[in-house]
Amino acid sequence: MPGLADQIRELDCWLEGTDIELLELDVGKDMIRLRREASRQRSAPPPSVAAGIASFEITAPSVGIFRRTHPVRTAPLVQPSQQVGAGDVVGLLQIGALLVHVVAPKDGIVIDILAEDGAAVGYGTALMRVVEKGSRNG
Amino acid sequence: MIEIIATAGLATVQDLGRYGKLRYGVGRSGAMDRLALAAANLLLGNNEGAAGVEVQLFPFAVRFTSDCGFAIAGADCAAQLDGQALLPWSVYPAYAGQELVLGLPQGSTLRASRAYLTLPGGIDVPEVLGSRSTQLRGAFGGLAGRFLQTGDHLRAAAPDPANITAGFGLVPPSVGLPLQVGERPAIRVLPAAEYCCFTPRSKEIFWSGEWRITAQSDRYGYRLAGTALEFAEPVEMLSHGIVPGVIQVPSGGQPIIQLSDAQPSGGYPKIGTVIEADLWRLGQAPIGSSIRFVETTWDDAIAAEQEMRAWLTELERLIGLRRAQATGGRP
Repeated sequence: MPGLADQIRELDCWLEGTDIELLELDVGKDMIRLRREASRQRSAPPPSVAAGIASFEITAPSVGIFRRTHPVRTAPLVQPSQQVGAGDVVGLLQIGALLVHVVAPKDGIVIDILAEDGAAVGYGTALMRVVEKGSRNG
Repeated sequence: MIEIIATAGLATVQDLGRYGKLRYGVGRSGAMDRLALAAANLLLGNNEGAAGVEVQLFPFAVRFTSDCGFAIAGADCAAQLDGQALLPWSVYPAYAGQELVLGLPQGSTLRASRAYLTLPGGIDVPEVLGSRSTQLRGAFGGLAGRFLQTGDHLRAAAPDPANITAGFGLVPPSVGLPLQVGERPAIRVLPAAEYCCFTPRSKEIFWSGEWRITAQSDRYGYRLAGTALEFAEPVEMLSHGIVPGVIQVPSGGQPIIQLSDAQPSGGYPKIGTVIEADLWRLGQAPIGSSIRFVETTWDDAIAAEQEMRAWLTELERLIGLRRAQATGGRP
């Protein structure tokens, strides 16, 4: 049985070639948590985000394939400059036949889709950037 | 717990069907799209055979009278919960007082026609002859053996307001288990006992033609319209036992597919039988749409059944992981 240090080294090698940013693994009575240190290269927020306006990222709640459109629909769930309300489903993460809902945590206006449609994403991957709004109809 | 607040009619409580009772002259009933009902149940962690509501005409609206999770599957009917748009084939939480509206089925090539609504533990109505399906002809089963009406209340068998795992859905089988010939949904059929009685030309027409589902179609059966089928010699038969899926050809030559609420016996010659694994495709084909038949073999029919079984088993596994993660996962 490999020791814990060897297991961590092995996991580190596997993760090297992936986009996974956070791994938590139960190993008997221990739990290994590996987090990628250097953050991924992101394009700078688009110039339309004026200084002083609060914006936030909607991140992936799970691993999966990022889908902007539901399989039986044709229009994407959200487009840039679209208003979203807290609780709205703005994207999907596909794991086999399962589609995890990506939900907007607050009201806002989508300003940038950060992940590519069909890309494999990991837990915590930034999917879109949203500018905060005071109220849905404000 | 839900109260029906709007129905255009033809909605019933159905489970996967009443099996083993054809010998008593009691037909199978059950959901026209059993795959959608099973999936909607699995989304809630129910047994796949739990009873749900089958909606055939839209709009259909219910009010939740207590906190309750629910799932929807089948036709994408632009469902809304208190005005918020929902995704099809998904599970959601609902709170007392919220209203769920199922609108008109949408979509173009993959448009379905029946929707299913499930509640935790299944709809709580008495089991009759081993099933909770509505037996319309016999006026028993489901809710008092009839279509749902405004004002009806339906209870969930296992409500658990504190433990609703929601926020996910499924890739529908129209995408995951596609079957088309050209632009038309394809239905696999086994040649039936009187197949040999038809002319060679008619057999060719049966397999290569497009068959339109006429307005004289419902849960009892679909009347199809297409090029008339002809017999090589006249066929007169005594009434005999039939099952859902049987395709009969009366003297006019226009086929009738017997479906969920079919009579247990009939005397028309049978040209083929739709395989069990494709009955859901038929159940979702809208009136006015056309279908194609594909000749299949016994072995392929069994394989199709196994493929459907595997799809459901995989759904159950993925949903189980999701639910376990939500309730017992680490912070």
